[in-house]
Amino acid sequence: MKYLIPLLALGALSSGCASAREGYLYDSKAPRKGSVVFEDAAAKRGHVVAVLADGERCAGSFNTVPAIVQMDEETGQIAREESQTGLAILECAPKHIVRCGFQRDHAGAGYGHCSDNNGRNFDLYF
Amino acid sequence: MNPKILYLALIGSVLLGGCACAQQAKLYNMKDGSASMLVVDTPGASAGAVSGKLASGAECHGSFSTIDSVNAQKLSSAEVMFTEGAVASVAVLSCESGTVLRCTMARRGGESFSYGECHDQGGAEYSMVF
Repeated sequence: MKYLIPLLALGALSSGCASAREGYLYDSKAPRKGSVVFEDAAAKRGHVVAVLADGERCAGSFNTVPAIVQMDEETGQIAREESQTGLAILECAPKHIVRCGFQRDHAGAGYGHCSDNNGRNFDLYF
Repeated sequence: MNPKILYLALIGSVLLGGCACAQQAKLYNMKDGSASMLVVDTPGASAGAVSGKLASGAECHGSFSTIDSVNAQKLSSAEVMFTEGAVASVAVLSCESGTVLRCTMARRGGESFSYGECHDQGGAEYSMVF
């Protein structure tokens, strides 16, 4: 029992802390913005939620691939991903889909462009 | 050999070797918002079989293979980005309805797919996040 707290602390440290990253979705044709949250900004993939400028709520997922990388010269493998590109797809109202292509740095900060199936466009900053 | 050791070795090899499980994603039609399904049988391989089911219920079958990321970008819209640090694949699926899907997909080397998009011969665009 006396090892329980150290074990719990070790588990929390080793599992890391999922940090959300908030940002904005700017409507390309009107001076208004919505919000977006990447629920675990450090992860290669995860969940994303958004509220469009008109109040419509959306939820979906994102996934990434490496963009700028540092290579390990000995193994020829990627040693560090300096930046990533990704794609997020959000389901909003029924049959309303928002798709965002983005680039982000190793800390999870990035920008991109989104479009929906109603012909609207958005600029994404997070 | 001791059966227990053999059993543990088998479990260990499965865990260390990863899973050759199929990978699936929802395929969203960017024109009407309907959702279809795409399944990649061997997502860690350089080539393999893909299948899908359109929102209409039509079944699709085809295959994928690896291509240069520069060529993949030429086949894709600007929002779906392919980089030199990623592995790009192209897939072609033929559906019962006569629809032919041409897809580009991106992934990390040695891993399963991350995202992609498809176009059909009618000009409809589909997007997916795995």
